[in-house]
Amino acid sequence: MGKKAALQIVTANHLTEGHSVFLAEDGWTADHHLALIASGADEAASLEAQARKDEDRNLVVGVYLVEVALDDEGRPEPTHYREKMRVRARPSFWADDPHVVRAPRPTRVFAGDAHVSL
Amino acid sequence: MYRYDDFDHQFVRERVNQFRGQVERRLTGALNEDEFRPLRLMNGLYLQLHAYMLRVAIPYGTLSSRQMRQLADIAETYDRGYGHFTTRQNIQYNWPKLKDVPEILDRLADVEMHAIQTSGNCIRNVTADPYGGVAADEITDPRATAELLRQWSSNHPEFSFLPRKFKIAVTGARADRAVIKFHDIGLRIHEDTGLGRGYEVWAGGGLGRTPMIGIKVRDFVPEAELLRYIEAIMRVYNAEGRRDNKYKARIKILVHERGGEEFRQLVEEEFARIPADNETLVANELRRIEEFFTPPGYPALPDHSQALTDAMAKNAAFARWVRTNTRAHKAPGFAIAVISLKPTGGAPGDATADQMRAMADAADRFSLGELRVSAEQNIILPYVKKDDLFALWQSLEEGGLGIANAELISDVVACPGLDYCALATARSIPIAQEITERFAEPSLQEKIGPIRIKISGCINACGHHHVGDIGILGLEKTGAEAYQITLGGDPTESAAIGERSGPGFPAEGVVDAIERLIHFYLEKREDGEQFRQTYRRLGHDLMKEALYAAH
Repeated sequence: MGKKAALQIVTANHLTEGHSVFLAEDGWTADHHLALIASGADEAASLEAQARKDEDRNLVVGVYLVEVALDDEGRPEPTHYREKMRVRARPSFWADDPHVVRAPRPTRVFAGDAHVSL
Repeated sequence: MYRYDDFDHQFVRERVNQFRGQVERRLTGALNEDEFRPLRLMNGLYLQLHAYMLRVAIPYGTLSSRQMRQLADIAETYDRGYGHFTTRQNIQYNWPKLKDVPEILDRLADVEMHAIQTSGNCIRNVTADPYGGVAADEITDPRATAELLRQWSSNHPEFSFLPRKFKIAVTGARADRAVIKFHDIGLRIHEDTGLGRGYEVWAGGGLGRTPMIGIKVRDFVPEAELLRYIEAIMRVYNAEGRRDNKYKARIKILVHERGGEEFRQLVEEEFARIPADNETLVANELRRIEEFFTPPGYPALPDHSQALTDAMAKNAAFARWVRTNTRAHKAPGFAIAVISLKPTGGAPGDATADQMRAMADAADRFSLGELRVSAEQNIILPYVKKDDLFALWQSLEEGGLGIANAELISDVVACPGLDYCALATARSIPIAQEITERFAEPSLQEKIGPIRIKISGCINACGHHHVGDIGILGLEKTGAEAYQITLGGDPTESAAIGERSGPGFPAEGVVDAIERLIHFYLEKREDGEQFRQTYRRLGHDLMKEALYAAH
C-alpha cells in the first residue's frame, strides 16, 4: 500500500439486491459519504477484515478497499475514475435521460455489524 | 422458427428449478460466493459494476414476437424498463436482483428461452447470419445448422469445462455477416461443390486481447460428418488448449502456436478415431430441424412495388430510410428491414420495454411475427412486403424507431463499457453518443456512406473494435480514460484486423480526431468509393496522419 492509499473506504455489493454498498458506522449504506474511513494500512486491513465478516454472513459480496480523498465538507470521494463511476450507482450518461425508468436508491439498506470502530 | 419439444421444455424447467435451489442455498448461506459463482455464471448471471447482470441467450439471434413481448415484460417487472441487445445477438438485463432471477428464468422458460451457457468456459450461444433464410445472396439457410449445434452443445458433458469460452458462428451466404473468421469455429455452408451439402470449416479466430484471423481447417466437411468433425476440433482443444494461463487459453492461441499444419493434422487424426456411427442420426436430425425453418408460402408478387416507389417519391425521410435500412430479399416483392437501435445520443443496442413491444407489434403486422438480433445490435424484420414498407416505417416512427442509419457512421457498435461493466477500463457509450451527435445530419451520413465504427471499453473487445473500419479501444492511461484508435478492420469475408494508429486520445479528443479523418476521406475518395476502399487505396499511414493532423 503506497502513500497515496492513505485514506480508504470499503465497498461491496449487496448480496440479494446487487447494488453497491459501503461499510458505515451502523452497517452498510448506499451512500458512500457515510462510509467509515480508514487511515493507513493497519486501519484499512482492520476495516476490510470487519467487512469480510459480513461477507461470511452472506450480507454482501465482493468486498474491496477503495482509495478516497476528503472533499471540502470532509466527506470521502473516490480518487480513481472507476470508483467515481461506481459511487454514482448508475451509468454516467443517465443524468439527463428521462426515458429510462430509475428506481430510487435507499440510503440505508440494512444493518451489518454495527461495532466498527476505527 | 424452432419450437421446443417435450425434452427441451423439461430440460429448461429442470435447470430453472435447479438454479432456484442454488439461489435459495446462497441466500441462506449454505453456499458461499466461491461455491455459488460458477453456478450463477452457468446460468448467465454476472455481478457487474453497479448490480447483477443477466445475459439471456437468443439462439442465432432469432426471436418471435411473443418472446420479444416477454423480454419487454421482464424488463418492466424485474429490471428498470429496458434491455441491452449485444454484439453476440443476445440481450442483457442490467439491474436484476438475485432473489428475482429464478422467477425471471421461469418467465423465460414460458416462452422457450433461457440463459444457459451465456457465460463460463463452455460452448456459448451459437450465432448466425441475421438474414438467415431470407438474404438474396444466400446459398443455404444457416439456422438449422445453428439449431443442431445449439442442441448438441447444450449441457454437453465433455465440453462444459473447456480451457476457456468457445464461440461458433454459421453463415450460408456469400457475404459473411456472421464474422466466421473471427470465431473459435466458423462455418460456411456450401451446396455448390458437386459433393452435396457440406461445410467449409474455420477455426482459431477471435478478437479480445490477441486478435487473430482463423485458419481454414477443411475446405469441405460433408453435412453428415459435421458433428463428428466439430467434436474432433473440440477434443483437440480440450486436451491441448492451455489451462495454465487464462490469457492464452482460447483455441486461437493453440492454433497459432502449433501452426495450421500441425493443428489440422491433430484434428484429422482425432476425426479418424471417432466412430462414424451417428452420421445417419445427424442427417435425420437436421432434416427434422429444417422442418421448423421451411420458407413461408410467399405470395407471388412482382419484385417492383409501385406503392413503395410512390411513397418514396412523396416522403423524403421514408425514402432515406428505405435506402439505408432495407436489404435485398430472396423472394420477389419482399425486403429485409433493419430497425436501428442507434438513435442520436442513445446507448447503442438499448431498447425500452415499450420499444420492444412496438417491434413485436411491427413483427406481427409486417414480418410473420419474427425478428432477429444482429451483431450490430440492431433488430431485423426478415419478411416485409415492399408494399408494406411505408406502413412499417410509420409505425416505427411512432416508437422512435424509424432511424435511418443502418451501416452508416452513426450506427455505432459499442459494448456497455465502464458505465456497467466490472472489467471495463473506460466508458464506451458516451463516445458512441458523441459520435451519433456529431454526425447526426442524415445527408452527411449518406454522403459518408457505409462505415463501421466499433467501440470496446477494454481489451476484451466485446465491442469488436478490431474489426471496425474505425475501431476505438478504451484504456486507462495515467489514471484517466484514454482511447486508442485502430483503422482498417473488416469482419467480413475479406477479414482484416485493424491497425493501431498511434498514441491514444483523451475522451474529449476522440470524436474530433474521427471528424478530421472523415473530412480527409471525403476529400480524397474517388467516385463510388466507400471508406474501406479509400483506406486500402491510400494506405494506413496517410489515413493515420489525418487522424493526428491537429492533435
